[in-house]
Amino acid sequence: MNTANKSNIEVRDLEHALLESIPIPVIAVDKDFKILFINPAGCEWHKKELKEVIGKKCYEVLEAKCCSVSKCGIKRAMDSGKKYAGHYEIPCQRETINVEITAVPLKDEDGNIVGGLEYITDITNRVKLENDLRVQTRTILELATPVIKIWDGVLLLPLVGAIDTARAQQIIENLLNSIVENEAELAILDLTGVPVVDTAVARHIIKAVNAAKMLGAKTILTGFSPEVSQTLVTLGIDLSNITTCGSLKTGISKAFGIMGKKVVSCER
Amino acid sequence: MNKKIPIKTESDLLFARQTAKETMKELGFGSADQTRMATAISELARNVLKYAGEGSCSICEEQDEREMGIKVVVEDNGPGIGDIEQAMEDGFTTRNGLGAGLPGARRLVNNFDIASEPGYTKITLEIKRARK
Repeated sequence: MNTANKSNIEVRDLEHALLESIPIPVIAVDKDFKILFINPAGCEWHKKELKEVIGKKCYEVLEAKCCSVSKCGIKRAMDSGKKYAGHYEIPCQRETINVEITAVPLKDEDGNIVGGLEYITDITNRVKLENDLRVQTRTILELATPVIKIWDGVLLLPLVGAIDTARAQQIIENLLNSIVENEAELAILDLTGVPVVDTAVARHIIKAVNAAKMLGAKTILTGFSPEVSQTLVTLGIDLSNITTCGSLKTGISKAFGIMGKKVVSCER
Repeated sequence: MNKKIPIKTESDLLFARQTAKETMKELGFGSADQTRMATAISELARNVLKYAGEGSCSICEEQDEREMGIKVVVEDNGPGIGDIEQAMEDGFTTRNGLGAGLPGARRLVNNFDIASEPGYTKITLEIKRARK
C-alpha cells in the first residue's frame, strides 16, 4: 500500500470517527428507507442497538411519530432534491418533545438522488422559552396600560415604555372602553414614561384623542419632556388641537378646572 | 466601534434606537441629541418595516479631538423611493402616514443623505457636536 492510499484511509477513519462522535442524532437511509448509517447518538435517541436497526427500514424499527409518509423529512428532501427543515412535536409519556429535523438528499456522482440523511435537534427547551416569552409579553401588554379613575368622570392613563403598534392598539381600546364604562368626561394620557415619540406614536395618540372625542370625552396629554416636545416640533407634528400640559400635576389641576372643581386647603 | 442591527420586527427597531442612545451617551452627547437621533432612527426603521419588510441599521462612532459624532446608516432592499424630492416634502405619504417621517428625520439630524434605486435604499444620518 502506498502512502497516498494510507493517508486516504486515515482521513476516512477520521471522518467516520467524527460522524460517530457528533452528539446529535444523525441517520442516513437509501431510497427505500433502508438504514445505511446511524451514529451512537442516533441509537441512543431512538433507544435501539445499532445491530437491531442497520439495514432495516427506518419506519419499521424507529417508530417515530413523525414517520407517517407525508411528514417524513427525508422523503420531502428526496422528493424535492433540496434541504428540508421542519419542526415536529413528538408526544411522549410525560411531555411533548419538540424537535427540529433537518434532512438533505444524498446524491451519487452523477447527481441522482440515492437516499437521504437527517439530523435531529431537540428544541424542547427553546420552544418552552419562546412560549414563556410570549406569555410574558402578553402579561406586560396587559400590565402596561392601566386605567385609573382619579375622580368621578376623570380617567388617568399613565403610559410607560416604548409604544409599538400592538401597545398603541391596546391603549386605544383600554381608553375607549374605560370612557364608556365610567361615563368619563375627561381622560388624561400621561407620557412621562415614554422615551421616544415619533410620527407613528404621535399618529396613534391623535387617533386615540379623536376616538375619545367621538365618545364625548376630552383628552389632556401630559408629561412631555423638553426633549420630546422639541423633537415633535422639529418633526412638524401638530398637536395644537389637543390640550397638552407639561406635567401631570398641571394636567390634573386643568382637569379639575374643566370639571368646575378646585382643590382647597382645609384646617388640619 | 461599529454595530449592525438587523431590522425585522418592531422590537428590533426599539433595540436599534436604544443602542444608538447608549452609544451616544457613552460618547458624551446630551439627552436632547440622543432623543433626536433615536426618533430619526425610529422614523426610518418604521419605513423599512412598512415598505421593505426588513433591512438593517448600522451605528458607528465618529470622533476626533475637536468633534464627537455618530453616524447611522439605515439600509434595505425594498422597492426603493420613486421620487425622492416628493418623499422629502412635508405631508407626502403613500400609505396613510402623517407624511412627516422622512422630512422630519432630516430636520432632526445635522447631516442627512439619501440614495435610492429599485431594490436598494440607503439613508445616512449624522449628528456632530464640538467637544466642550
